[in-house]
Amino acid sequence: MPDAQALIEQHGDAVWRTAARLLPNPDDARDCYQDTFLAALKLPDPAAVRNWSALLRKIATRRAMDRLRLKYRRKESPAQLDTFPASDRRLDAPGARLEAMELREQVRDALCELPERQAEAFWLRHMEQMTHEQVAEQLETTSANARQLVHRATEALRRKLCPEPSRHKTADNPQALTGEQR
Amino acid sequence: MNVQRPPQPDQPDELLETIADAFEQAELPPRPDDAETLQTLESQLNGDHTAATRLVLSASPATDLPPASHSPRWIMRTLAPLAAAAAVLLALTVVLWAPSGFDSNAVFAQAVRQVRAAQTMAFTMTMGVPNQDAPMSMRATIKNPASMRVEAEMKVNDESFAMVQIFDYETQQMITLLEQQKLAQKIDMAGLPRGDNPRDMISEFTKLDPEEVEYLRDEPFNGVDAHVYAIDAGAIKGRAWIDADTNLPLRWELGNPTLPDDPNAKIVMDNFRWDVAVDDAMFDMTIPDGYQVREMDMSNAQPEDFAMMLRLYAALSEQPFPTEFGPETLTGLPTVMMRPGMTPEENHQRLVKVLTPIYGEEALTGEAIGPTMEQLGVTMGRGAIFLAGLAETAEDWRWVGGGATAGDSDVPLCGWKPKDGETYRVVYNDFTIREVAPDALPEAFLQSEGHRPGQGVVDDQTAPTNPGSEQGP
Repeated sequence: MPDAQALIEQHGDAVWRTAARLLPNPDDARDCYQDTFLAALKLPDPAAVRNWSALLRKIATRRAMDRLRLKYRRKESPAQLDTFPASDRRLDAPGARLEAMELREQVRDALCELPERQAEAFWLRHMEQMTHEQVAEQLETTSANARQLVHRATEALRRKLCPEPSRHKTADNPQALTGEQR
Repeated sequence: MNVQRPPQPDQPDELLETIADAFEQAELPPRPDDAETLQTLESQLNGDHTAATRLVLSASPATDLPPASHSPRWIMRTLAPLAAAAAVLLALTVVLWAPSGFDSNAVFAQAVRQVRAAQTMAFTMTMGVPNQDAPMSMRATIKNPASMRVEAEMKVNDESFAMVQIFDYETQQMITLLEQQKLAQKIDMAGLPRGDNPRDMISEFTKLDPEEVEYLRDEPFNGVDAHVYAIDAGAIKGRAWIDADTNLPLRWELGNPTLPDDPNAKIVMDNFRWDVAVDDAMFDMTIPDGYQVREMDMSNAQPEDFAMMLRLYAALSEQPFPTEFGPETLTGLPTVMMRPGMTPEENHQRLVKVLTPIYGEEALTGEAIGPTMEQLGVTMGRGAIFLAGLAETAEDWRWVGGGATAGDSDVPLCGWKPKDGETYRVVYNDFTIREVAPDALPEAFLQSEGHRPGQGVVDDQTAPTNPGSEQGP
């Protein structure tokens, strides 16, 4: 069994960050945090773990998503989600905090509607900043499949959060500024 | 034509940046205190497992097999590991195929919502009609999303078997504890599919096609007003009683797909309790001190395991193959292995007879029979896991073996097309596996509907077409 104290000291911040960002309720986040370390301590072959940080964040992500889905399902008639802000509002603008909070909630709800592996892949890649190779290792799949999972999740989120695809500019589409084509 | 192409890995994406910014700006509560966390973890790891076990077992009804005229040890050697293997299989099949719920109307829709909302649930699962010669009654407790505990008590001759099985879907491990015998099995199920399988087991209770459920009538059930529904979903046939007040399931009664004509072979699930308080110690995978531990490897199950499982299934059932075969069929495995109504001695003699052509006489004689039966359990378990895994690994699964009996060696039983594969793998009734090109599939395949185990029909794009049909190439 791995050294619990060392695991918590070395990776506690990262695991907490994952749990607390996904789960806005502090009690849920705390449970998820403990569940994550408990699962790690029960691993049958801890000596085989090559990257504790990535593994712990994967477990935390999975546990947090499970809790999110439960809560999401409990919404008897989910409130109609607001679409992604139409204008290019950066988060340092006035009111940005409230908008960021709303956006986080929208993203959490949207993740709940995605297939589990897509949601996990998205979070690990874009929120945990793992490489596709690291995501693939954690999801026990190929790098190409991990990339595909992330891509599908991103596109699904894009469709849910901003139904008009042209609202978001990418390097592919620099002219498509948010709100400019409306 | 509007074609979206994937963004490049390092390409700026405003949506992703905005989402990342939003989560970066989240004000996080302080991280839990390390000392408190350590204390909590320690108490969870060293919880009073036996107390929790006693508590649940006391509510678990015992079922006795008919007393035999004598109880020679050779019968015990057959039945002890077999009982454990059967329990492993039943528990596995509960995991691999959690019985489905329904949402054919508003009442069911409400029931489904409530089932989905439950974080924990407990129920009793009985093979056979209660108060008759049911070989096994089990109590399952599920803690969403990844833990399940199954308990059973049986008595074979004068020896009791109190079995506890705990699954951890997260780590894909299972343990079986035989309490009186102080025997433990550690079972590695690595490779068990995660996709559509019930890692979130409770939600799996809600996946029956609404068209496969029909409202019958209202009638009291144990003094409770209930709506009664008929289920007819291929291999799954049965009835469900739903509490008229709470819209929660009261009882599921499913015909055993393996023994469809035997009214005593029903699978009954009742005593449902939702959102019960459960002690985390109930799901502790630590093997208690004093147990002799055996390790069973069910990881990375292969097609050959599945073919061997079919061979064993055919021998043990002594019947033609059923018209449908999927994970749900495997719920009947325990009654295939240990027939209700037969004495232990009769069961033993039957098993030796039907298994001798497979394992040989020597492996079923004397001390050798115990390990042989354990091996049988492992093989069946690996086959079951492989079959369930096809839901993720195959594009197209077809069962065409209905009615096939021993000797029809050229009759195809089933086949599937692995994802990214170009050919089908077809299992014939001689239990060989052959690679077959889509345009060379047996006629029976072309007349069948492709689907994934336990799921709906596959997309037309992935199904092979009959060259002779109008849709052919």
